[in-house]
Amino acid sequence: MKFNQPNIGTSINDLETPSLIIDLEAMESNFSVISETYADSPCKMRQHAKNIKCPDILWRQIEIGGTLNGVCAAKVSEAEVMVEGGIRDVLITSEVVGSDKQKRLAYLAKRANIKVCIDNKDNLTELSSIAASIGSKIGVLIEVDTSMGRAGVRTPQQGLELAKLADSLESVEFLGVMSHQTVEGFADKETRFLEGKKYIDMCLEVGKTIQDSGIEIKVVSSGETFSYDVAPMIDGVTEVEGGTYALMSGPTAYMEEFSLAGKVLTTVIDVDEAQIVIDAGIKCLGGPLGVKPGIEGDRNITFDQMYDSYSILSRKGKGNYNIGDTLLIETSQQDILVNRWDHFIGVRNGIVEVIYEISARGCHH
Amino acid sequence: MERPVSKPIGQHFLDLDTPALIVNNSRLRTNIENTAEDLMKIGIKLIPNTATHGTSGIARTQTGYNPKSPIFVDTFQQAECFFQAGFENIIIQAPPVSSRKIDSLRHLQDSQTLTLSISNVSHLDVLKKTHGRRISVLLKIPNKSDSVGFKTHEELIKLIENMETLEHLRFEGLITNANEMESMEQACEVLISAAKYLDSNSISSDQRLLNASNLILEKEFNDIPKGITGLISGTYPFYTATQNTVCSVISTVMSTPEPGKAFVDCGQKAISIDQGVPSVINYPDAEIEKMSAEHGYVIFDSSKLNLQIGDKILLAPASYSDTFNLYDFVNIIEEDKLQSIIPTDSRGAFK
Repeated sequence: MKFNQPNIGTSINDLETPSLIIDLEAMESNFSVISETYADSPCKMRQHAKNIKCPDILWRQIEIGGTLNGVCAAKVSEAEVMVEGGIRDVLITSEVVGSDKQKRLAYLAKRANIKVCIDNKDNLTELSSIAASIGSKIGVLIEVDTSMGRAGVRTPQQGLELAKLADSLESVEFLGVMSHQTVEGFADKETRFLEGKKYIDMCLEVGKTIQDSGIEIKVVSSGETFSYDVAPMIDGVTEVEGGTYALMSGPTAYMEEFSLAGKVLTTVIDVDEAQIVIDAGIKCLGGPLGVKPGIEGDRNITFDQMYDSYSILSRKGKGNYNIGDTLLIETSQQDILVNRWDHFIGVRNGIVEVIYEISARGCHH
Repeated sequence: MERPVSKPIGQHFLDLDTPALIVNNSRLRTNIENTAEDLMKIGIKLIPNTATHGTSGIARTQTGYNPKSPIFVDTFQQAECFFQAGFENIIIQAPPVSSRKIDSLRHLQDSQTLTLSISNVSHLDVLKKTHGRRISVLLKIPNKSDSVGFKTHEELIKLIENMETLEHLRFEGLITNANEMESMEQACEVLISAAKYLDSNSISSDQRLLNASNLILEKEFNDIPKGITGLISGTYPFYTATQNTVCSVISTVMSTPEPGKAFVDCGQKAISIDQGVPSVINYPDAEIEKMSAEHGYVIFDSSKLNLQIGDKILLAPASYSDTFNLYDFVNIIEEDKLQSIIPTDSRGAFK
């Protein structure tokens, strides 16, 4: 069911709750950090759509700068939404399995510059065969597992064998290598560089093995928000896959150059001396395995229990809270949260400036 | 919005585009009928919390296609969704606080039997501003696992007396939430104790409702003490006995990078892990190790099992409510075939 959205010009104090808010000034500041970091670098940002799920916002980063005018997507259906939103260059950062999805991918590649990850010969052969039957060509990058223990080749030799096969197939274009890793938790740049380099070097090693065999490596796609400033310093990395930096979240506040831009506005629906009850619960916030959000501006209030549609907060201080008061929730894991909502309410100086539809919400196919 | 490749009715369920949320129709109906019958035998009315699944299709089965049969929802927007789908007797858990919610309430109260649960005297002040058809009011009683509500019996008396001066409000009864299994009996005790106190003051409470929406009920219903008139539950349609899973998410293996590991296309965005990781239904020797936002990590003993790319893994969610909230559609399955696709009407109705 579609519900009415607030009028542009509405004060944040008059918004119905819970609402997912973007502090536009903070988000644009985050985008400017990227623009400045990548301005003079041959390496560029490829923003990940899985965090924001909204082509209009991804366009804002492209306009502000620092990107290669393309994005990442986690799934084929998410990539479709990006192409429909006018973005012509999309890297799908997972393997695409099954003829249904591979057909979608092949048709999408007729409309835009589409690339996908591979880590298996049979999957690659099927992909090429389906693309050939449709008359399209799909870019492929070999996924390298560097630390996460999930998909991806484990050795340079595996990568080389896959690259040779990709290079021999008519309907795929072998482009290079990519890897996921996270170096979250390190505030200082030097540690981030060392940690990031440790993993990214593993990806580069696979790329070098392939290059040494005479197959050209055009793309090395790696890094993420937590290595956004160190990945471009590593020779060979051509693009960085960052997504978290757009909105950030409570646990990533140590990256002080970025601001927390995504928050949930909630209302106090009950209160006593020991606790506060708010109208935001697990369904709108998420809370994977006990990772709980925080309350902006008052560290004496902590999430105690979260239920489907409400949460109970414990209070230690003497803050004066009344039923009807609104609070801003700092999210604990923003891309799980964003996937639950249909709209962002963009606010500047306390006034609603824009409503963004989260058009790739639910695109898990 | 969810964008699966559509499959024709009659397709085998394992051929659905994944990840896909499926519900077995005959098992769902059996659970719904058996639970209602079991409770009826001991004189307790079963009130479905339809916010758990958010679908009017399943809610109609739960209410026997009787629009006047009560349903329980969490939010005002959910009430609006079910009202639009034809449900006329709705109990709302969220108290009215903001002006927008009062406006919503005015619209709802003109159209149907509406019951609101309140936990604070200031909620009554908000209700005083509503004028229209009668609203029934439930007063929330706190207990060990949920301390929100009216803490003294004297408070209740004062509030009910206050309510009696308002023509459009009717004191309907008491409600308490049981959030932990071990607190269920205690929650019933405090509710009945409050009802007895009111009774001794010549105030009858027609409804004494135990809201067990946050629980997977495992105990026999006979454990519920006398005096409780209604049990609110959202999960009972999806109870699972052994392999006869009612509700699950189908996922596909998309990478098998090393022996004993498979990587599936279902992560936290397609199945909730808020109350634990899902269990693997169709491969007893496999389990979910962890889940990222987009993917699941399956581990298994490679001497017993050989999962391949493209294999389907059926996952049982640890939380039904939050998993339904991640989907726009539910695939209804009968005898392993797709029977119908129903929308989750109130998905995202957080307000």
